Amino acid sequence: MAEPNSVDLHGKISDIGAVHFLRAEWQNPQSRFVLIRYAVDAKEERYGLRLDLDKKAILDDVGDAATARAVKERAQDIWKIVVDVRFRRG
Amino acid sequence: MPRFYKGVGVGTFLHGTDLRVSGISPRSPGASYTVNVAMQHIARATTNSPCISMSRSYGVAEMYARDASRAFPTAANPAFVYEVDIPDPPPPGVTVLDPVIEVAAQNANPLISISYHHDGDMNFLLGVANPIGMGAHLTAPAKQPGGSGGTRRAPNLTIELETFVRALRDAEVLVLGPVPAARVINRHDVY
Repeated sequence: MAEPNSVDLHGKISDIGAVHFLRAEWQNPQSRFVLIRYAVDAKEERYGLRLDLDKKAILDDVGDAATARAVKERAQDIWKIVVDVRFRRG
Repeated sequence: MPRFYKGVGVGTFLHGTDLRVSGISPRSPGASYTVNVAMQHIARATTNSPCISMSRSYGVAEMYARDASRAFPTAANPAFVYEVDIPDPPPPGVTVLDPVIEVAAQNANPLISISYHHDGDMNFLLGVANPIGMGAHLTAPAKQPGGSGGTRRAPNLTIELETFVRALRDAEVLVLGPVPAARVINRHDVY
């Protein structure tokens, strides 16, 4: 299994309450999806959030409806960071 | 009997149960189906849907299982591809829809002024199918007749066309209604 590539999101994406974005990861450079790792109350969650790069959308929910909506609104900002790095790395 | 494939990523909605035992349920079984729901399901990020996506292609299902996991699959915690056989006619309560046919049926008049057709060049569809790798084709200005004075703009792209392209790309069908466990005949680990 290949080691994941990653992009650090610390300080690049603002927190949403207790939700803190850590990094975006992917194993397959051709994948349409990346995994957004995040922490709640400073503890990293076991499962990340799937960012669909084609749709520029986060597919998974975090917390209550308001938090989930706010997290999904970060998709475009994270997408820009990820795509910029993936194009530069190839 | 037609065989379909269902990719299930680690940590996703269907991953926690063996679908050969439970069958396959949609995320929102009580929601109503319309063609618009189908288009939102395929071309947008709507996951709360009465539709279950399946593919005629094992390769597509495997790609979704592996790449659309919420943790990277491992031998100890793999993603899955399920094989699903659905007879014709399907079991009671199960409907299998071809999204291309569904959307095309509502766009059968080529004389309407607002069409699903794009007005870009011949590479435009490459950008629709692969917006990351070939996204430049999406934004290349639509060519217009010389002297027409038309505003410089990207080609027309409708959700209908996005649905066509993505459904064809992914060899996708939509299933309405719970798929009985007896129809889920095999499971492959993916990691």
